[in-house]
Amino acid sequence: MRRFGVTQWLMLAPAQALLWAAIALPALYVLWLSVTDSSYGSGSAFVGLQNYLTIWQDGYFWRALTNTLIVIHVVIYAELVLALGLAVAVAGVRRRRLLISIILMPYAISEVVAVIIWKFLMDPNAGIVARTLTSFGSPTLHWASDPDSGLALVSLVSIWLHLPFSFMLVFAAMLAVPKEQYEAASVDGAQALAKFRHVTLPAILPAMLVALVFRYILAFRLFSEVWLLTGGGPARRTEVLAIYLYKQAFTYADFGAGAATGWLMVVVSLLFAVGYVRLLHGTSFARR
Amino acid sequence: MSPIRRRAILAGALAASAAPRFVRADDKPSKLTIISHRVHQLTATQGPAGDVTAPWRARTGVELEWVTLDLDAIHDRLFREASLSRSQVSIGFVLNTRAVPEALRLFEPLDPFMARAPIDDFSDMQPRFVDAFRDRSQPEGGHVGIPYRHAVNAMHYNEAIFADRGVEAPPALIDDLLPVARKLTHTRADGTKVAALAFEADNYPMMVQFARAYGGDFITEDFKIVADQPPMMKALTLMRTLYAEGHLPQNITAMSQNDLIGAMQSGTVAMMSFPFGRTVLFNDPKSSKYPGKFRTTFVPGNASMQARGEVMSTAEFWSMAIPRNAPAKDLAWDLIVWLSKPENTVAEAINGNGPVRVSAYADPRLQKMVPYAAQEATALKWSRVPMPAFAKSAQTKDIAVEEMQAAMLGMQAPEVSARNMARRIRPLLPA
Repeated sequence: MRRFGVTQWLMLAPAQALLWAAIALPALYVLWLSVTDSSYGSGSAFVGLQNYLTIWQDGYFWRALTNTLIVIHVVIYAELVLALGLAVAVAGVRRRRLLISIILMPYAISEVVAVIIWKFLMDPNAGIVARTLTSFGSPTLHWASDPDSGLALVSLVSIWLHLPFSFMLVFAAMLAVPKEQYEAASVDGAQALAKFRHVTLPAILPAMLVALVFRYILAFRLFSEVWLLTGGGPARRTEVLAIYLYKQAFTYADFGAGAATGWLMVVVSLLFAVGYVRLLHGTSFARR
Repeated sequence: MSPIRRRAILAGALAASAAPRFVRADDKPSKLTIISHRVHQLTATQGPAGDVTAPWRARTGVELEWVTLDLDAIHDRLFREASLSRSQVSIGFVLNTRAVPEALRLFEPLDPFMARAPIDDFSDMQPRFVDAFRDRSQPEGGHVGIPYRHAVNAMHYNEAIFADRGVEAPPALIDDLLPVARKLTHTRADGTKVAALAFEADNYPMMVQFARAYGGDFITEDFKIVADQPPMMKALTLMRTLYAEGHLPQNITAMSQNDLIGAMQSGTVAMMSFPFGRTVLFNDPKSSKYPGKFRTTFVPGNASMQARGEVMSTAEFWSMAIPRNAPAKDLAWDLIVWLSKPENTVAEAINGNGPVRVSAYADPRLQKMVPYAAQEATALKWSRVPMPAFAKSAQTKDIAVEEMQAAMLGMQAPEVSARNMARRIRPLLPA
């Protein structure tokens, strides 16, 4: 192997500089902001960890964190199970282009538009979906007045919006499994379930983990679904971390608290994702 | 033709990027950037009275670049721009609830401009609106904003639903509201529920109006919180009863302004508290199922108010301000003077604006084209802001809405909400 020298470093430098300029420096600036008292036109005064302490003692932060964790866990696991089920179903169909197009359709719709359409469909009085469900004897989903129902609808809309992402990763991995492995399994007398368990699942596991990690991190930023459906209400009971951050930074103009919330979101999401990242590293990238 | 070389493109780009350095700071710009809500742009440039800015643009040769945003985004962008060492924004529209001392310091004192080029008949402007954008530490002057628009709340009602339900008139007194609501709420033959009343439940003015109708208030003008007094408890109890009995839409806490307008236009709500100007939308034949059937009246008050000839009304208003770091401040002031001229105020009102000049309502053109002009003038005369502006007013609003929603939806007793409101807001008020 050739030595990694100055030339190689210089060739990497533009990409590294871009990463620093676009990600690292803004992140460090937000870290600095999080230890200051900062608002419009008032400059920034260093306050140490005061912002973190204030957030730690704020019951609304803990409620937003709890709501976020509940919703993202429901969303990403439901999404993964559905993506796997759909991938298996679609893989067994010959003319599947139309089916795949239908599954991918939510990804082609603007997130804001999709949420507003869902809000309209689920309007308890005039929404066509809500009224159809009620006409079949289903109890009315009081998503605007009952926080639990509100979070349930947020989860449903989020799953619908992001299912194509998980599906594409899992389905592509499933198509990449060599046919020879299935033929060998057949020769060994394996039935469909055994083939899925011993051939398909181990082969697509890395892709499933990638989907899981990406969705974990992306879902932590959950905002538009809640903002447009419930606005964090009723009575701030469906607020999630991104809305808490938005309020601190842009409604109350407390940039220090907003920045501290942002960093806490990064830390908490890393804490929850780290297990999957280690597993992913072990299954896909570790040198054997 | 010689081919374009990469070196030539790079040289051109460098020259272009360096060019602004050679433009003198006092040169007249070719455009003026304004940050506002879309309604400000529309009322200044479109409507039956035409484009009010056109003569000004023709005279100065300067074009206007309107950056229109939503309520929170306007102030966030404007205050951030105004906090920079230099900005491209020459005029910003600021809502009265955001006119707190910390924010007002970001804007240019306007008295020197007024001395050089005064606004025509400045005393004709609503004194309360002018006063809200003053640095109150100065006994005189201290102006940092010139009022442009007000939004005074009316009670809109669908007279077709009233006729169907045998209700002759909307309630004039707060004690009549519930009995009238009980008559209006019903389910149509197709299963659609019609709610008697709706309002913005992610905001607090309706709660404050109810509390005032019961003889109380929320926060007084001298920053005393009185939310734990019986009138506020009665207001929250009324809201709870209205919701529990189904007189408000089930999803009222999640209804945006567009949802509310849609509900009125489709006839699923019979009455709504909204600014007067919205009647145009409710009666719009293109989007309403009941064009021409919507009327305006006042929000219910109480008997003693009625005896004094007073009506219940809350108002919010916008002013134009020049950021301290703005370019072309004289030109910006010139536009503000132009937009504030009495005849232009009338033209903007005909375009759908809430005029900030008292005299505008006496104008025969306005009276002819705006059917609610006389009512709005009366409402404006008696209107009060839902709460005075202070540094923590955004947090105060959130607490008020949270406690109001909790009481209305039955999550906690109205008395508990009222007491919580007072306890939590008191430390946020100015000393």
